[in-house]
Formats: sequence, C-alpha cells, structure tokens
Amino acid sequence: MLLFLYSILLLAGLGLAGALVLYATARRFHIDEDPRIDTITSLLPGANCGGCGLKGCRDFATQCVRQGSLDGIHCPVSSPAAIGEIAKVLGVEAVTGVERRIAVLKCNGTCSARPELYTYDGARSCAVMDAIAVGTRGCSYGCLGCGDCVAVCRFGAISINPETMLPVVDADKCTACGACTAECPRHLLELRPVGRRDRRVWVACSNRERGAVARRVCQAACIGCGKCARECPFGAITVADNLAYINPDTCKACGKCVGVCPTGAIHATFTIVPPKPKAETEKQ
Amino acid sequence: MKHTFRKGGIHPDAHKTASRRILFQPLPLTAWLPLSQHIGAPSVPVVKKGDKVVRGQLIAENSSFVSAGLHAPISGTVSSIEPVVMPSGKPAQAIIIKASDEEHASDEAARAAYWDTMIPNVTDRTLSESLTSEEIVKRILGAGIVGLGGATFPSHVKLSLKPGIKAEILILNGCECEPYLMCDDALMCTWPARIVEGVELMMKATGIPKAVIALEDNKPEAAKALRDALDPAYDISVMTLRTKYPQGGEKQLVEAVTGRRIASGALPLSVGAIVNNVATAFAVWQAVATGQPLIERVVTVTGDIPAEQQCNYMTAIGTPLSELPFTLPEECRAIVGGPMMGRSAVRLDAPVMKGTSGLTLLKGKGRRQPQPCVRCGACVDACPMGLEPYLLSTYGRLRMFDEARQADVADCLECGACSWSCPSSRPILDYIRIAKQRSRK
Repeated sequence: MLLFLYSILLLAGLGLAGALVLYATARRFHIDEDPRIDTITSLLPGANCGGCGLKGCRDFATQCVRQGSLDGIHCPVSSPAAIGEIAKVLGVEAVTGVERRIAVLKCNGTCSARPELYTYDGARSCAVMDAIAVGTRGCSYGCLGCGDCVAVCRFGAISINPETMLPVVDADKCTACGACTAECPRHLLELRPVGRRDRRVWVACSNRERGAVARRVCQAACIGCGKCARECPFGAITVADNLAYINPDTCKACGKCVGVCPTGAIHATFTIVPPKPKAETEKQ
Repeated sequence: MKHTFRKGGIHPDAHKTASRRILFQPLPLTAWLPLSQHIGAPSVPVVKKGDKVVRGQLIAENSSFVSAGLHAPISGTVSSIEPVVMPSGKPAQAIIIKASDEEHASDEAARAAYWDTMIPNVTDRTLSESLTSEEIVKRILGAGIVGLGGATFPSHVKLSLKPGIKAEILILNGCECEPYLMCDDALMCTWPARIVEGVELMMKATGIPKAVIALEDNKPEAAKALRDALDPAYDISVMTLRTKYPQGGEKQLVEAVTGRRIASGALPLSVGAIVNNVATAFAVWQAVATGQPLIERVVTVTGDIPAEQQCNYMTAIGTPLSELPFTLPEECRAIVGGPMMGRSAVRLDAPVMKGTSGLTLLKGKGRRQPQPCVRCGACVDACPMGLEPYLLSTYGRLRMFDEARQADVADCLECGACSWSCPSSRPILDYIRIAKQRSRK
C-alpha cells in the first residue's frame, strides 16, 4: 500500500517540478503579440501564395497590424468581404476600388493553328524547353504547353486543355496571385481586370515578328495589321512591334475588334452579337 | 602511365568512324551570317542592303573588346539584314549575301588557288620571327577569330595578356573528346605543320615560352604527324592523354597536362595556363600568314549515315546545313555538334556558324522514359567538376536557385556526363541548365 503512495507522491512531485520549470520558462521568454495578428491570419486564405509580395499570410497579417492600416498592401486572393473584415479588425475603412483581376493567356497557338514540328523527349518543363530550343510548335514567342504554370498554381486554377495543348484559366478559381505570370518563361500570362459582368477582351498572341513571318509559324498569330486599332471607338488598342495590345483601363469590352481581326487573335469572354460591319467584311 | 584528369569522367563509345579526309564543300550561292556567332557583344554591320561585297571583306565589326568581327565568305550583294532561324529554331539578326553565277565561279577559282598553296605543308618560320606580338594580335582581331572548339570565345581577348600577368604554358586542345566528331583530328592529320606554325605565332603573341599540344591516345596518326612537324627551336611538345570524356573541358585539360587544379570560378590563367583549340591555331596561322580571315571551317558530317558520306568538309561560314552532302535517314535526329554537348537541330536550313564543329545524324527512339532517382550516386562519380548533379538538378526543378548558387552550380560545364551515367535516365542536365541560368541573375 505504501508503495502506491510513494509512487503517486513521486510522480506528482515530478509533475509539479516540471510544471514549475515550464511556468518559469514561459514567463521568462514570453513575447507580447498583438492578438489581432492571429485574428487576421485566420481571415486570410492561408495559401501562402506570395501574391501580396510578402512571405506568406502571417507575414501579411503582421505587416498590416504593424502599420495599423491596409495602405499599400493588398491581398489579391481575399474577397472584398474578407478584406472588409480585416479592415474592421484594424479599425480602418476598407480599401475599395481594387478591381479583381484574373490571368489570361496571350497565346492562341492551338494544335491546328501550329502543328507539332518534332517530338521533344527532354524534361517536361517549359523552362527547360525554352532554354534549349524554340519549342515543338516552331513559335519562339508562344506557349510551350509543358505546364509550368499548372505546376506553380496553388489554387488549381490552371489546367492544360488536351485538345489545344494550351493552359486554360478557371476564372472562378484564379486569384491573381501572379505566380504563373512570374513562372512562364515567355511571359504569356497577364493579369487583367475581370471586367464588368465578366466581359474581357484581350489579344491572345505575343508574336513580335512581322506579319508574314508570324503567320508562317502560326495561323492564329497577330500580324500587327492594325485593323483592330482603327476599329476601336475608344482608342484602347495600340500596335507596337507588330503586336496589338488592348489597354484594359480604356477598353470598354464592346467586342468590335474581335470581329475585324483577320486571324482571330483577339479573344473575348462573351459571344459577340454579329454587328453590321462584320457582315460587310464577310461580303468582301 | 598516361595522364588524364582525376575526378569523374566517363567513357562513351567513340564512334570515330568518319574518314580523316577533308573535302571541299562548294561555296553557297546564298550565305546567312548571324551577327552573334561568338561569346560577347554581337558584331555591328558595316554594310547595308544592296552593297557589293567581296570574299573576305569585313561586313560586321566588333562592337566591344569581347566581340569578334565577321567577314563575307562569298562575293556578292547584301540582300538584306534580317532575322533568320538558328538550328534551334530561334530567330537571330543576320546579314544575308547572295552571289551571282559569275561571282560564284570566280570565288571558287580563287578558293581553289588559295588551298593549292597549302598543299606543300612545309613550315616557314621567318614569319613568326619577323612579326611583333602586337602585330600578331592585331591580325587575329582583324580576322574575327574565335575559339573553334565550341565555346567561340574571341581569340584576341585570350591572347592579349594584361601587362604584369605572366603565363607559363600554352596548351593546345586537340583532345576532341566528343564522340563522333573528327574535324580537329582531320585538321591535325592534314595540315600538322600549319598548326605548329599557328602555335608558334600564339607563343610569340603571348610571350609564353612553352607549349603543349594535348591529344587523346585514340588519335595516334595525328600525334605522329604533329611530332614530325615540330621544330626543335621552339619548346613545343605533343602529349598523349588517356582517353576520357570530357578531357577537352578547359579545366580538365589543364589538370591533365599540368596536374594543377583550377579553383572554382577561376580562369586557367590563375595557374599560368592558356588553352586554345588546335583548329584555332590553324585559323591564326591562316589569318597572320595568308591574310585569310575566318570564313571557312571544317565541319564533320557523321552518324548513322552510309560510311562514304561520313566525312569532313571545309565549309564556308553561312552555308545552310542542308547543303552539306548527306542523305537524311528516316526517323533520325540531327544534332549540331556531337551527341554529348551538341544541340538538336530543329531546322536544317540554318547556317553553319563559327562554332559549328559537326552535324551528327542519329537514328533511334531518343531518350528513355525517366524513372525515379535511386540515389545510386552514379552522377556524382561521373561529374568531372566534383559537383552533386542529382542535387543541383532537384534545385533546378524546384526553383531553389539560391541553394543552387551556394552548391556551385556555376562550375557546371554542361558536359552531360551525369545524364549519360544515370541508370534511371533522368534528364539531370536539363534541370541543372535552368538552375545555372537563373541563379546567375
């Protein structure tokens, strides 16, 4: 019986001594941390994607608590509601007017537009392929189709379409963190504003060669003819280095340029109701 | 016991089956001349569209010290200066010269007369004794000579030593460790005396008292020919090394010849050595003695093609690869250079450049499907630089470029011994190349 008592007392004593050591250590090395950092961290997506330019979500939370505001830092992944919540925790007005953006692919080189020239059996990586040669499809500007962007996306928003062998961005999942735009060795992905009612228009080509040279490698290349720039009523389109660019800030997504493009290099997220000018060009 | 470098190295099948003869490839009617055929700044055109040029005329000059000039390989008219496709399929700015039939005929006659004077192959040493070192370097600079072993580093930069820096030994690289290629071997067998004279000119230019022509022991004919051509007045010796790939790597060669190791990131000059290719020595002799700039080079055509087609061709720079005489086998891949360090050619209408040592046409299915790494360490044993290729490759794949830099990825010479030795056929070098490129930024 006494053995039991001794055992219990000994273990209880050891436990107490241990607890005292832990208590003393915790007191000695205690760091005061703003509880708001934890709160804000729990409100953030937790993907640690680095889209804000900081090291991760906790770094973002620490940064906003330290400066006491959301000035100059923005989480592109969080919804406006979540940003509002964070602003409430900080006791400031939520930043409004930061429009949601999503990534678009500036290449339209489908399998039919630029057939495969040779088989590539090196490492399946766009970066490797770009460093060695021009790519299996002959275009030195276009998509290589090995899916480096797919691998780097932390939100599963990019997938390779097996028919076109081009990456497709899922507009619902894309958070505009910018990982894919940085990863693509040919800088083919661009973050553009999501647009009113999800209407976006962009030039799906990056080829800067002269029209004839560009067309030789890809049927769907922008040839820099400038028809779209002349058609645009808002002056949003500029042609530089044989390549058209639609300024997303001035583009009103009317879609007029889509119809006049002779190679179909301009893409839109909506179907164009055939306007009159298009019927005329068809007659010609 | 013959010398070689100590660390790593592999023994791929040599396949040196091509003939040692050098045939003359007819001049092309149209020459494509990319402005960047060397390491350093691209050269700047000094001709414009519509200009008449003659064979050997300067058409683009060097834009900075580390750069090289470019000369017209054929007489004709500059038809345009525009991007043309390289063997990789990428476009690069180039001067395009078109010749008329009369110009072509007179060029061919002049070329035949020029090479006829080479046939005696007798050494004449009055030249290297009469010229000053500045004059020799000036002529090399004027001839647009670059390292013809493959790295295409401008030769005048290598041969103009800074005052106060002394080199002890000039090493001539005749190893040609790359399988299949025979162009240096053919050159050494055909014009050994000219190469020795080129070496003497290089010694004079740099003031180096001692030179060693290093060959692998699989080229006994070339070694004998060179030994016969040596002049006792100069301290030049011919050294045969034990065959091992990549013996032709600069650091490996210096170690094999002198026994000295070059530190990470340092040049051979740090151990008192300068390395040049034997083909460069030949080009130096041509430029200094005959005044012909670098407008022709020897190109080996070899691989899985009929034996009578496997040969070396003295080819004008700017000749399209497809004009070389070979029948393209079915289901084959064309490699510019050898199978170890060469690059697959996507377009055969691309031109021969200063660094084009050969065209290897290989049949076969290509690479095997990569399997997971089994941690056998074969790549570590094979690496001639003492690196850990499996680790560098993983850094490249996972985009860990800072770690790659700390693991000395910059020392990698991209010889491909790691990928060759991997039992899982992993594309090790592909990813190391990425790590090397991106960690430099």
